Amino acid sequence: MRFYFDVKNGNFSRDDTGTELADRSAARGEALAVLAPIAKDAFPENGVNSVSVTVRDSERKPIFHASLALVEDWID
Amino acid sequence: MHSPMKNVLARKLWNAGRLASEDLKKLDDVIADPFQLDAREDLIQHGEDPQNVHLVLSGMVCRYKVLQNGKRAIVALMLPGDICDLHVAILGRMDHSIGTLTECSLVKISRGVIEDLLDNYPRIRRALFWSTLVDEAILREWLVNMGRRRADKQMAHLFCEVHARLTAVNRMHDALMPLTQEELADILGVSTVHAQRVLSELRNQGLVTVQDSRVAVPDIVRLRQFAEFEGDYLHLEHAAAE
Repeated sequence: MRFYFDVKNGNFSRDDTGTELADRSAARGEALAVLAPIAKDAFPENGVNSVSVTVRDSERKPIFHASLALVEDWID
Repeated sequence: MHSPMKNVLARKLWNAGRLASEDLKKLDDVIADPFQLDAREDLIQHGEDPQNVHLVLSGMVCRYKVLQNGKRAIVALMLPGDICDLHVAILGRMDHSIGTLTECSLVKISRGVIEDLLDNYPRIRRALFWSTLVDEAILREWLVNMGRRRADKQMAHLFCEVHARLTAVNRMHDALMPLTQEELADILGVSTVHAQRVLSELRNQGLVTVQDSRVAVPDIVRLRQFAEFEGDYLHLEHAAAE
């Protein structure tokens, strides 16, 4: 099955190529695995403080969403 | 006169310094009997005790390990002119596997021939030692790449390296590199989805183009600037003139 992973990390990038994966659960795994490395490269540059991914199935219908947020505050 | 251009092993070793005509003649004998292998075939598997070493004449071969969870890490790429496993002539049992990424033309070199080259051809011995040291330098750079570079620069850096290595043996034909997103992910140590995303970012910036899983570099100078690529670790500065 082909899944598409649209990512928002400050700007939006729509996936038109997709990735072949076994099932929905594998797609969820990939979606979660991709958040941390994207955040690592994106935070905290350019005021980006959240990264999110939306997974679409082979019919391009959204089926899953996950996000990762950075919360920061001076405490003095 | 033997042309170091035709024999890719000689062409590669030539980068370590000038070879004599007896060296070139010997190297022609070494590559005299090539064989073909399809893409994604193993040459040697982890734990085997091989009797031959393999030289790549064309195509792309990788050194890899597979973890218990099935994930693969590609830890080296072998390109035309590279000897895949010179150390097995000394170390014996393999601590990793070697397999083709693309269709390849290869040559089997027996341990006996390697010993002959090392014992009786001092210029070739020095060049083989040079190539082993360069392999180590490449591995160092990959570690830096993995640990300290952003994924987009890491991928761009890899393309610059492959481009430089193919150019150094006159094999950078039509400027295409046959690496799928899966292979890129296993080289860079990221998920395939991440590799695919990073590749499309590079494409959107016009740094690379992709046709049928093959990556082309329209402007190598621009890509090098983006990747902050300095090719010094490839040690091509003493390459002998042809």
